[in-house]
Amino acid sequence: MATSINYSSTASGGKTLSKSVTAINPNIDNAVAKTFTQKLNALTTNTLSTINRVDKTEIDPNITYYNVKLIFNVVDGQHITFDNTTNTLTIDAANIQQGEHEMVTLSMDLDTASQAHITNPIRIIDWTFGNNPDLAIYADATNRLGIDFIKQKNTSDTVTLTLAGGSFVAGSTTYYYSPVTITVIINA
Amino acid sequence: MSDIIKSKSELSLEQEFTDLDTRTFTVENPNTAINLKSAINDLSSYMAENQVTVGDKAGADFSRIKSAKIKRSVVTYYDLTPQG
Repeated sequence: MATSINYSSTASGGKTLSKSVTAINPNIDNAVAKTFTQKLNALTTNTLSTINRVDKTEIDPNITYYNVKLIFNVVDGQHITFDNTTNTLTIDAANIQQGEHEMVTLSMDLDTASQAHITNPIRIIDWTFGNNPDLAIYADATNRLGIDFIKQKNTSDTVTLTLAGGSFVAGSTTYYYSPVTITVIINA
Repeated sequence: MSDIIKSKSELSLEQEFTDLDTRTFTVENPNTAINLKSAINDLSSYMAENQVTVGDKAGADFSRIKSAKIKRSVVTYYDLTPQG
């Protein structure tokens, strides 16, 4: 489905000409938005200064945005491992008892030359765990993924978990990352 | 006081979607120093490939920029100050 964006332009002399339209998809890739701004900019002698998405994030065509690959470092996951190459979280359910909590801290690393290490809040935007009555999965306020075993998990399963995209600032650079889908394998 | 003449030009781009609906947006002061047709076609291709549009259209994919036109207007404001 198409993504609509706002744009505003500044004519010579500093007058701002704004076109307000409704954006319908807040998850537009920032690199795409920037390139689109540049191509639109080429059609006018005005200066297109900003592109506003519905989530009010401004995209300045003069700033370089990085599409980053998130590398998750699993910390304190006693029966959980994470494979960054396949974005797969594997849970050793056979050794986890009913009622037990597994708290996993996902710290994110940039897969760029700068290799900045960040810790951003995790926000789950889609998860098939919701249909799985044996487990409860959630993100807490301290950037940890929580997995509760409501019932003893006796059957192996594969589900998907999608974490929201976001942004963070490192020095003078703003980094954006898109939503990440993780495969979760439960080995009973 | 003499007459005031103001001129303005704008480029209107008509977006067409797969359900044949259209949305038009305008860009002020088109850059006539470049090959505008080529730049518009390039923009159209990029919009189709990445499904990025301007406007509030929902429910259908973007197909192409269907039409583009430059409208120029010259407005003369007559000075009606009595002479003499």
